[in-house]
Amino acid sequence: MNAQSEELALEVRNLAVSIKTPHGLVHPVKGVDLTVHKGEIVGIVGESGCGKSTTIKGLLRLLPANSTVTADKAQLAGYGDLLATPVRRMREVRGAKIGFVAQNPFGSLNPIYKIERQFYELQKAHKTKVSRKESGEIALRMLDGVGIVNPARVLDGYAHQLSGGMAQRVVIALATTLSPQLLIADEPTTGLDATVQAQILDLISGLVRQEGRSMVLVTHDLGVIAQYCQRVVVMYDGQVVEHGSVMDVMVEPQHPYTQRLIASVPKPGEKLDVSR
Amino acid sequence: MSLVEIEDVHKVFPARQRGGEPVHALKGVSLHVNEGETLAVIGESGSGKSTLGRVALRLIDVDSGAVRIDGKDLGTMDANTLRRQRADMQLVFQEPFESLNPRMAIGAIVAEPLQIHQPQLGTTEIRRQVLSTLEHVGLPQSFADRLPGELSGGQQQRVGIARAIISRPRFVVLDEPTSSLDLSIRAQILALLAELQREYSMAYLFVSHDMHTVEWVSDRIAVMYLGEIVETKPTRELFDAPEHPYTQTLLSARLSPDPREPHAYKAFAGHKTVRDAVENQEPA
Repeated sequence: MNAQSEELALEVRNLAVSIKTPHGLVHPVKGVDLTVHKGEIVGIVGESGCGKSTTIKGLLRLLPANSTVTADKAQLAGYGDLLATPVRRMREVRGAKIGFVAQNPFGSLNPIYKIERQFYELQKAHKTKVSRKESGEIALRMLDGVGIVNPARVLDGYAHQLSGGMAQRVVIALATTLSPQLLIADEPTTGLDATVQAQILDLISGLVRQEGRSMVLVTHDLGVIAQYCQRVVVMYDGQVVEHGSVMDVMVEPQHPYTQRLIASVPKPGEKLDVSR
Repeated sequence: MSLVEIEDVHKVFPARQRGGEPVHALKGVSLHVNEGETLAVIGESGSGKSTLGRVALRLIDVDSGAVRIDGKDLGTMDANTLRRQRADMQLVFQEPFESLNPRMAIGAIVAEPLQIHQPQLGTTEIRRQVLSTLEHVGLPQSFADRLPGELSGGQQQRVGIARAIISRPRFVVLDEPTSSLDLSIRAQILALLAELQREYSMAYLFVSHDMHTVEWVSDRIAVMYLGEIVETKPTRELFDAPEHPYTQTLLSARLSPDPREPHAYKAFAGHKTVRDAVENQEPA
């Protein structure tokens, strides 16, 4: 089912994030390893505050200036070391080398530009030589590819006219327009309805599979991990407590935290045990 | 015997913008909640499930149809009778923090329903009941003097539950009471709700979009889609043999945490979410 190989798409060793606060230095991420092979979807799972989003934002250098990100290695295939890249040059990486899908699609879309212009600005920013007309055609194709029924109408409208599911489809189309080999999605379906979630996740995982891309999928939802990822990293308190294939970790979790997490999901066919 | 009866209720909200379409939130909804049972109402955003929860407590007036508790019609009750009746029917909100006054101490928040419904009780007695209710929902008594902002999300929701149960209601609407909470906290809150239900034999109307949760907690389930109840069944039966195409679609979107049980999402022909139905119509 998966075309994953031994070839690495992303290799991160000992990533740490520290943030200066008025109350001193805090360390939300304390040495995280993350390996993503080509063609593979790797899940990062944990509860609020475990550092999963901070890990991703640290890698993408999207954290505020009062934070420091360090790692022994943060190698992106076909590019180089992410942390050796000056922050101002990360704009060239995000979008072109790494596509990013955030939890809130409306935060990713510009509220005052039509959707069509956002496709144009993206391509212009990455110095792709396109005319407005060519950009429009690419945008139509991309929106069609993410299952939007009436792409021309969406292109000619604004973000606020879209439902959450439609907006997230637009963000996915934008994130894949420049054909990045790695996608990073941070809770891409949290807050969406179950049927919309299934549609969106089927869509993204299909995009990854079709073109031999790779993806890091950050979520707190164990169902999303079990159904869409091949490997999983479980985080707790800024550290990786367990990692491995989804089959191993989800079926026979070794770490007590992972065991507790999995035990707290209502199982199909079970009634709530009040005695706990 | 059914405690709450909702009969052929219609509710239309006017368009929010000029030129917009009015929203037909409830299109002839009927259901009943038996004493001591949990009836889950499941549906997606815009299905009308939250409106139904509020209609059941007469927080929203209906356009037509009737809502009865103990056979008494809430719609025709005068204000005084309705206020007295409210001791019996309470609500737990989705966002615990949003539903707690940030400037009021926890003890004062939990005391309010008693001050309204049993004003004859003295301050000392109210305080005594507040402290024992806090303990009942798993909070230390010392929390009475704290502010909501000092508590975690799970603790805040326990306060919301304490406030709902202190007047000993027989009917409680739980509007997505755990969807803003982390997984492990969620399980604790659901267990607490089940325990309290058994102890006080309250009936719950549990409004939710999460199929894992409703399967876990409910005796019966009503499935809502575009303002209508498309199917109502005992929980086990609904999951084993869903009849309506929308119920089947909804169940196929469940993602099992066990990778050995793969899902196969399958939408029925013509399935639309509410927003998509409005915003993304194919031009005729």
